[in-house]
Amino acid sequence: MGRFRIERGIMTPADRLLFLLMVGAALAMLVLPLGGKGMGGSVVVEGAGGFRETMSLTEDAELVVPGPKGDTVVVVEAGWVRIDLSPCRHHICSRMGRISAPGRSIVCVPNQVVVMVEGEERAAIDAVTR
Amino acid sequence: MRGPANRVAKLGMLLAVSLMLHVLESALPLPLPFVRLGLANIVTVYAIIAMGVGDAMVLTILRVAISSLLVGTFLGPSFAMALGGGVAATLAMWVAFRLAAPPLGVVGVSLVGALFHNVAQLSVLAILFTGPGPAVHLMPAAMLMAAIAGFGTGLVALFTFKRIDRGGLAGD
Repeated sequence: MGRFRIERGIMTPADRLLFLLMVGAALAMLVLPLGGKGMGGSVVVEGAGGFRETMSLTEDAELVVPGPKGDTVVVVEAGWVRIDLSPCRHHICSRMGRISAPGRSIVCVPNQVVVMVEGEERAAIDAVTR
Repeated sequence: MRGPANRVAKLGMLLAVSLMLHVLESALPLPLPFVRLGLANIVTVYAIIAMGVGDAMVLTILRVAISSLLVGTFLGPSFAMALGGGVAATLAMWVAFRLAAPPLGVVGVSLVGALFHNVAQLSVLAILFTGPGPAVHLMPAAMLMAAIAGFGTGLVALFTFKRIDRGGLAGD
C-alpha cells in the first residue's frame, strides 16, 4: 500500500474524534425528542348504542365508555392509546396493550367497545424474523 | 507472491472467515430488532485496505448471498437489509479510506463502515417495509451500536493487520 501505514497505537486522534462524535450524536438523538412520538393521529372510540367519540393522540386524556357490562376506560398517553379498565370477564382488551399506528384497533367484545386509530393502514409487514 | 492464484486463495479464505462471522452473528441474540453488529465488517475493513474495493465488494455480496442461504433468509427482508448494509458499508469505507485515511486509522475506517452499515439497514427497512417511523425510533440505538461495534471490529482488523503484515499476507 502507498501512503497508508498501519498506525502504531490503537486509535489515531481522528479516530477518537469520530468515535466521540458518533456516541455524542446517538446520545443527543436519544435525549432530544424527535417530534411526534407515535404518529399523532386521532382515535375513534365506539361503544354500545351508537356511542362515538374521537380523541386526539397528541394530548393525554381519559374517556369513559358506557356499555352493557359497565364502564370501559380508554386512556391516551404519550401518543399511545390503550384500554385501561374494563368490566369484561377476560380483560382481553386491556391486555392487548397500547397501540398508536394507523389502522390498529383494540376491541372489547363483551362491553361492545371498539378503539381504532384513524388513518390509512400502511402496507407493512407484521414482524421480521431473522 | 502475487498473481491470480494468490488473489483467489485470499478471497476464498476471507470469504470463509466472513461467512463464519456473519452466521455467528445471526445466531447471537440482540436486544434490539433490526440493529446488527456487523462483525463481518472486520473482513471488509481488511479487504479494502489490503486488496481494494473491487475484491471487498465481491466478498460482501458473496457473503450476504451465501450466508442467507445457510441461515435460510435468502431474498427475505433481512437479506435485503444485510445486502444494503453490507454494500453501503463497503462503499463508505472505501471512500473513507481513500479520502481520509491518513488522519483516520483502521479503527476510524471501521467506524465509518459500521455507521453506514446500520444507517443503510434502517433505510432499507424504512423504504421497503415499514415506512420511516420505526427507523427513526431505532436510529439512536443504531448509532450507538455502530460506535461500539465499529470500534470493536476496527480493533480486531487492526490487530489482524499487525499480526499478518509480519507474515506478508497483506501483500506489500
